[in-house]
Amino acid sequence: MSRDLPMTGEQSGATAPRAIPDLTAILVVAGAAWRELARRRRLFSLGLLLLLPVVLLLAVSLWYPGVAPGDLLLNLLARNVYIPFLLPIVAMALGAPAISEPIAEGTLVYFWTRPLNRRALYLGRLLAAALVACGLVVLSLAAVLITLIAGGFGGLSLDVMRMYAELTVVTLLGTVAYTAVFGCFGAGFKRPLVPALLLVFGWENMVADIPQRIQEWTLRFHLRNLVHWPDAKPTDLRGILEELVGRILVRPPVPVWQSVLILLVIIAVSTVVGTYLLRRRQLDRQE
Amino acid sequence: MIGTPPARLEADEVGRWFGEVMAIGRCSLAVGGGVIGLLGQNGAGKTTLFKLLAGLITPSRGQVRLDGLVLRDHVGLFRRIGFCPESDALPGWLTGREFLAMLARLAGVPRERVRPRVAELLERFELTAAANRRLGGYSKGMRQKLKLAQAVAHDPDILFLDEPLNGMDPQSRLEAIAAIRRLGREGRTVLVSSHILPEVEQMTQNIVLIHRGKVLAEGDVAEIRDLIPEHPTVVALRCERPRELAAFLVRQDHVAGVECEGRDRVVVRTEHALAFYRALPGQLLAAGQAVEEIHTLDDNLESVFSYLTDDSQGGAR
Repeated sequence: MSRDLPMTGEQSGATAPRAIPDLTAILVVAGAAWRELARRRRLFSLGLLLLLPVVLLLAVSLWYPGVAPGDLLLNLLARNVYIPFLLPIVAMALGAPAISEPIAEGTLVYFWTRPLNRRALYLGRLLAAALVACGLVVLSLAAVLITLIAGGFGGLSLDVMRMYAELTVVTLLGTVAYTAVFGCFGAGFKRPLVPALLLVFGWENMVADIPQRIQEWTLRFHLRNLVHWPDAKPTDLRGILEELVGRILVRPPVPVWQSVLILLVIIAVSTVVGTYLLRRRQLDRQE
Repeated sequence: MIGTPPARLEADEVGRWFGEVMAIGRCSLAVGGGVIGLLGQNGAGKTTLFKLLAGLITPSRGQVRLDGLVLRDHVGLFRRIGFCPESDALPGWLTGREFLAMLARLAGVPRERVRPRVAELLERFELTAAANRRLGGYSKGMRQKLKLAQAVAHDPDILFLDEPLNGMDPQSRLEAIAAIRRLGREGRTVLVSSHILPEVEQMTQNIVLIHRGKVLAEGDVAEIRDLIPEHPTVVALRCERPRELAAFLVRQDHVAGVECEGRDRVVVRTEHALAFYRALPGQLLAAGQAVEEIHTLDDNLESVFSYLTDDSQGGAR
C-alpha cells in the first residue's frame, strides 16, 4: 500500500466500462420486482378488495332487480368506487413501496453496486408495480363484466360496451397515474403512505365535492371528467342535485383532452421527480 | 485476472459527516492488488468507509477514484466491483437462484452465460440444495454465503467484503478465508473489514486500522499483532448441543473457562486468543459439533486501539 496518488483517469486517458443498457436493466429489475410482488400476501388482499364492485352489483341485482341499466351502474362504479377508492388503494399498496421498501429493507445496496443507472432501477420497479396494479384492476373489471352479463342487467347493449371500454381506459390510466405519484413519494419520503393517505383521503376528498375550479387540482376530478354520463340522466337525488349545482354555477366543462393531458403530465412529472430523488438518495448509516 | 494489472483504488483525504457527527475524518488510502484487511471496532467507521470507497455515499470532502476515475461519475465502473454488505437484508421473496441470476445479469454477465454461472456459484458456495428456496427461509450462514456469491458473480477485479465471516460456521469460515486468499492471489484487490484481528490475520498481512473514523495505522499485521498484550478474551459459540461442546472444550489447551448460556450458547474464556482461534476449527471438527455462529464478546483490538490512540496521554502514536 502506498499513499502516492497518481494522475487522474481523465488525465491519463482511462475510460470507464459502459453501464448496462437502460432497457435491459429496466426489464431485469421489473422481472425480479414482478416475481417479488406476485408472491406477497398483499396481492391476495388487494384481489379480495377489488371484488367489491362485484359485490355491489350483486347486491343491486338482488335488491333492485331490473331497476338500473348496465351503463349507468358502470358509470356509478367508476365515479364512486374505482376512482375515489379502489385505484388509490391499489396504487398505494403497490406503487408507494416500489422504491421505499428496498430502501427500508436495506436491499437497495445490491442494485446500487451494479453498473446500472438509477433511472433504470426506478423505472423497472415502477413498471412492475404499475403492471401488477393494472393486472389486478383488469381482473376486477373482467369480474364486473361477467356479473353484468350473468346478473340480469339487460345484457350487453352497445351503450354498456361503450361504457365498459371507457371504464377500462379510465381505470387503467388512473391506476398508472396514482402508482406514478405514490412511487415518487416512495423515493422522497421514508414513510410514503402518510403523504399518500393525506393526498387521497385528505386533499382529494376535501375538495372533490367543492364545485369550484379547485377541484381541478385533483387526479380524481380529471379521472371522473373522462367518464361521461349516460344519455339517460340519473333520477336519484344525488344526480339531480349535481346537475342543478352544475347549472347554477355555470362552470365551463374541462375538455376531455385537457384532463387526459393533465394526467399524462402528472405521470411524466412524478416519474422524472422520482428518478431525480432516487439519484440524489444516499445510503445512510442504517442502510 | 492473472497477468492484468490490479485495480488501483485511491481515497484522497476523504471525509464524511452525518449532520454534526463525523463518521470518517480525513482519510487517505491507496490500495491495489491483494487482500487488505480493514480492522476496527464496531462503530469505528468501517462500513461508512466501505460505502465511501464503493461510491455508495458521497464524501463530504475529498474524492475516491478507481484507476483514476471518480466512481460516482462513472456507473459503468461497477462492472469491476463486487460488494458484500454487512447487513443480512435480502429480498426474502426471491429464491437464491433468482437473486443470483438477477444480480449477475445486472452486473453485465451475458444472458446466455447467466444460468451456468449461477449454477457454478451455487455449487461453489454449497447452496445448490437451497437454490430454489425463498431467501426469507435462509439461515444466517447461508445468507452470508449468498452475499459472497453475488459479490463475485461477475468476476470483478475489486471486492469490498464487509464483515464477510459473520455468522458462518467454522468449516465455512475456513473455506471463505481460503477463497478470499485465492482471490487476492489471482491479482484482485480485496478489501475485507472485520473487528477480529486473528480472522483477518489468516487472510492477509496487509491491514488498515481504523478508529473513530480515522486511519490509525496501516501496514504489516505482525507488527500490529505484537501490540496486543495477552489478556483474557471471551468467545460465544452457538450450537445445538452446548453441554457436550462445553464438556469437550474445557479439556482443550488455551481454554481457561467454559459456561453454558441458554439452550444453545457456550461461552469460552481464553488467555491466548490467537492460539485459541487457530485451534478452534480443528477442535470443533474433532468434537463433531456444527457451530452456527461464533463471535467475541469482548474485543482484543481494544488494547491495540488504546495503545495506538494513547487516550490517557491525549495523543495518537
